[in-house]
Amino acid sequence: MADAGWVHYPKSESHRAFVARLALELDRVSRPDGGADVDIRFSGEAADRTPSANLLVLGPDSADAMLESVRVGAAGYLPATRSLDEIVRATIAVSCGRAVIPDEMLGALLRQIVEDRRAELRHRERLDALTPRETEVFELAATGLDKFSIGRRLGISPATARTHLSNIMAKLDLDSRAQLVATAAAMGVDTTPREADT
Amino acid sequence: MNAPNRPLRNERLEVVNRQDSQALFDPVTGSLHTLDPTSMAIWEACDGETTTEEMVEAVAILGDLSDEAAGRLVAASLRELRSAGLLSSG
Repeated sequence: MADAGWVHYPKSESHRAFVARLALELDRVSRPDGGADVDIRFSGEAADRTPSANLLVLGPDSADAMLESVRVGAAGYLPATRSLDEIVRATIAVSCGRAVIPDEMLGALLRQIVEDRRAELRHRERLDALTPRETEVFELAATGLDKFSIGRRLGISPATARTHLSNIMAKLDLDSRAQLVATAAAMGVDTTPREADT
Repeated sequence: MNAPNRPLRNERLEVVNRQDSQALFDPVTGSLHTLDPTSMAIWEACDGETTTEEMVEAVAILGDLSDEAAGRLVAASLRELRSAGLLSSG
């Protein structure tokens, strides 16, 4: 496929492909400035129907739609106006675990990767402001545990856990536990809910 | 003036979408520059703010390459872009 001008980014293990076509009329959401965002709704369907397959999205000839598709896990993206031959070749490439992005959208994807890395670094710098103990408390709080469960897990009193939480909220400029969880998720911290200790 | 490690594309160039590829047209000289897809993506990233290090990192992710290989690729592309006059001389 390389000779056809496709770019291949990291491979996966899967050898199946699920081709989803974005319903442009349904998925466009108007913005106040008159533009349109593409709201990707296929991911749940694709995940339910073919959990191990790689996803190739056929959508509008739009870098935004491509970026959103990649963001929600698509392995490949192709404007739906492309020829059947191109779609078949892209489907084969994706089913073999390769990623497929049209050449003309490569620049947009590269810029997005740069932006994502900058955001990641900004988050990491914020985390560096926390002490090792605060980082532990932060990671546990991100899973929804309260001061009692955090205290039990770390062998500290609930009052101490609460103090750590207050310091974390101040250092990260957070107002609520919901914000803490959202921030943690953006930082790549595991926010999978944990059972509170009984 | 743009910093050496934050290359800036020559803003007078126009991207031309062709059937199977993209090219850069220079309205002053009338010349058309055909670039490979990676070089085109790197040229687009030359906004005067993105560092070469950031480009290397992104190309490594995009192409599933080692940092060294991506570094060589970005350096070679920037050399070509610069020698062809596709980057601002600052």
